[in-house]
Amino acid sequence: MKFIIRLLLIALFSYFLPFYFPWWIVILIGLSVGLLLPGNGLNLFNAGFLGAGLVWLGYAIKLDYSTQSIMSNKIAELIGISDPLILLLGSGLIGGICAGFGALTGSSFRQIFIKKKKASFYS
Amino acid sequence: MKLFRFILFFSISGALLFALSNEIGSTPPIGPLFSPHQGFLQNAEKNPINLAEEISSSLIKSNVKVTFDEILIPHIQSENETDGFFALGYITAYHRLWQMDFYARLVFGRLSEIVGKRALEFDRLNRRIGLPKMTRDFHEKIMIDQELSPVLQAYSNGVNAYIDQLSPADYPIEFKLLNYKPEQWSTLKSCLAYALLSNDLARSESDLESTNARIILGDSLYQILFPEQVGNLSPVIPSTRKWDFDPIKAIRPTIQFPYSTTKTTISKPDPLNGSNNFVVDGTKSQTGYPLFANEPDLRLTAPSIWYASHMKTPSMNVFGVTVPGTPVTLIGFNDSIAWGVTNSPRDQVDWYKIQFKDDQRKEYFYNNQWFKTEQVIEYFDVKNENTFADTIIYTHHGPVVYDRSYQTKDEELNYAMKWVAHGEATTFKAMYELNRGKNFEDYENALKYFSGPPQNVLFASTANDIAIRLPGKFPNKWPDQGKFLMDGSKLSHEYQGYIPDEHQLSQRGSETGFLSSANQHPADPSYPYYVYAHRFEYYRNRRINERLSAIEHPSVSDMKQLQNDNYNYIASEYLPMMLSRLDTSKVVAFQNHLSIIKKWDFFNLPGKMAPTLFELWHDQLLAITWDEFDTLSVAVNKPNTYVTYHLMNASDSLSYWDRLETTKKESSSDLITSSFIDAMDSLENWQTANGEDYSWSKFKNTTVGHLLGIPVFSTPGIKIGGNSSIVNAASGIHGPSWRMVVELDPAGVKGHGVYPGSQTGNPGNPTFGQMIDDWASGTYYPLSLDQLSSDKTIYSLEFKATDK
Repeated sequence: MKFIIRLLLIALFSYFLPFYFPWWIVILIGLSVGLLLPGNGLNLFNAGFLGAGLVWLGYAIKLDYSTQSIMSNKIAELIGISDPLILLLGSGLIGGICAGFGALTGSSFRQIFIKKKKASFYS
Repeated sequence: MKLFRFILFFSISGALLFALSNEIGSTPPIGPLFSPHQGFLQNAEKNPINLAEEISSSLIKSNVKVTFDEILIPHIQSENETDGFFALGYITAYHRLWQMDFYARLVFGRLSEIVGKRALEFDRLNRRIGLPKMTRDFHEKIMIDQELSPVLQAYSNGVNAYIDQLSPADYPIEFKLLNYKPEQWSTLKSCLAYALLSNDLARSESDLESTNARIILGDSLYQILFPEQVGNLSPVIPSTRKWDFDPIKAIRPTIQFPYSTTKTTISKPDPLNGSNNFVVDGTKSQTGYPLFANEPDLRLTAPSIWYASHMKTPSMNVFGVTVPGTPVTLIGFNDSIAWGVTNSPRDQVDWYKIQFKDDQRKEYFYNNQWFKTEQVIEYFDVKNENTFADTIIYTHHGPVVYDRSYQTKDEELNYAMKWVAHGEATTFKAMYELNRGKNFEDYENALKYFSGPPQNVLFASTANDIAIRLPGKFPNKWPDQGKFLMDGSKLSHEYQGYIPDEHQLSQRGSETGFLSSANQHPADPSYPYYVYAHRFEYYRNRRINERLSAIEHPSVSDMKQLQNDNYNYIASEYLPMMLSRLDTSKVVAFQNHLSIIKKWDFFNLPGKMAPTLFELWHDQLLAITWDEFDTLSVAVNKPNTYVTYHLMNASDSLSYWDRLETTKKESSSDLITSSFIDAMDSLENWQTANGEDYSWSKFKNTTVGHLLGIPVFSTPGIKIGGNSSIVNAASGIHGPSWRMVVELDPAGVKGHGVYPGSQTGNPGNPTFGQMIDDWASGTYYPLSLDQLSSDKTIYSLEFKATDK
């Protein structure tokens, strides 16, 4: 359940926030969610990767489809890629990996923070 | 352990952020480029126009309505002029912002800031020859003009209003690929067209090459190979013109030109830059009123050099094209007149050899005294490199372009550039007045402000006036002055003044009913001033004049047809001579090719094979004829095609150039035959690489190339005929950059136009390059001064005036 919530939160923010902030906001989105809704590593990474990755991929496909791939065809040819779909997958992959590692960073940060606090309290 | 985990993930995230935000080699940052919210996908457009229907601004006084027609030309309707120019600036920036930024950087020698070291030498040249200073001086002069400064200000405000509302996602794709942001626009940048066009059109010269050639060949051979005039000139000003004034004599001093050769010289403007214009008056035209045509032939670029617009205000109703960033219309028409320009080749650049006192270069010798130089250090913020500093020395002649740190290491080789374009200039004022002109007198008055680059300014009015003038600043030179390197220490090598305005070349009306120009000699030798340029056109002018004489009453479609005329005048002269001297016994293996070329009617149509064969043969003939020039260790030009023809046609035994380096005494027949065999070999090589079909347009491969040379934003293989020196001057990467035909109907002026490109500069817009096919086939779009009807409007918007 927590996985679904994390995934949805990351997806939601990954769609809306990059309209107002630079692209790397996805790392911070992952990081914030990892910090506030901690969990185990793989689970968190997957939430970030799928949440942001699918949203970026979906948005990229939507933009590309509505413009008949006019730009992706050219950029693909420019960098020597045969299928522009690879570019769109690349968008998804970048969003996903960034949010995924962001989430891992956030949660691992929280873990050291919490442990230190406990240790200082009982010592 | 937990700390380690955090450090690991933190490092991975940090590394991702770093790697994806920064350029790696020449690869732009991947993160922003691939982000669907900001990257290249944001430059993909579904609709031709993506602008709000209402744009509010406190910088305009009243609302401005803009409608776009099928080719996205904005039709701007404004109650007052400055608001119209605000809208024009905004819309031009919307379509061409990156191109404007590129041109401004070119003129100010700042391209290396965005593309790195590969542009450094180009930037250095542009600063050394003074393009930034010319632009600043031009700007200063324009901004004190009561009429023009508000126009420039309003246009510039419009551009900035557009820039200010952009988010990084909206930046044109080139900014994203080169990883930089648009800078603020300014009235100064809006003056870039003067230096840009002067540099493209009025900087052509061969002073140092001619100096070298004369030293190596000796004067008599030099005069034979590089004559100033030969054969039928068919000049711009008809030979019937009488010059009924007393010219001011330029006295030739008894002097010696410096005897020094130069190994390499600075790059020159494209020799193919040229243009055609022609007009027929109402007595000759089929319609009973003047028909006007103009097309500038320039490098074919994407985005196109021209931006078309129509602006209607209570004080003017003007339609035409301008260089993006420039408020005034350079070629166009209004409800009373039409005007158009072709370049007038005139020697506007001269070189003076400078003698410095010592290697400090603080003083130079002039008129038997030592004068102080001025030293300016120019800084170049080269991308990914250290800042580069270049010291430029100024003398009263001009900047010392060639010195120990540029082009040469020789301490003694210092050449100062004297360029007419460096002087005071008010050319925008002339164009602005022309935009609002009503009649011949307005045209004549407007051109008093025209300082250059020298143009054949053709004119027609609804009152059935036709005229041509060559305004600008022309030094009154004695014969040979400025043709060769001059001595910068001698007073006697200076200009003795300028040709007075009232003695300048002009012609109103015409006995033949037409006037034309095509970069040929401006006048025949009866004009009492010395007119020199190292290169003139000899072919397009004759073809145009012959056609206009032959067509009794030209119609609009005749005018269009003539603009698209593919007659190869060079071939019509050369080929009969080449075929008659060809030794057919040596070329029996190529009978098929020979019979194709023999049957040819000299028209360079896109699907024909013969133009390819002729081109290969003719190029090879010229190459082996003047091969001696290739072995020289100093910079020289080769004799031109026209002169070569005359020399060859006059005599089969070419004793002139045998003296140079050939061992065997060859006849022109030998050259013609062996060049034919060589040409057939190169054809075979070409076919191996490109396929069997060598039809003319395939072979020529006319290409509209992106300004950065990005192949996927370019359009190669355009199916068009013509070639350089053909009226339809479409060669490989060069050609008619704006074709315009205007009917000067007193009941309503109508225009027709097309250019090889599109109004939008965005390769992700569905209309990108939309006019190219029509341009190739000679199809025109209507250019109407009337209000655009709703069925022809593809989009409309309004600029709303708001309070501050």
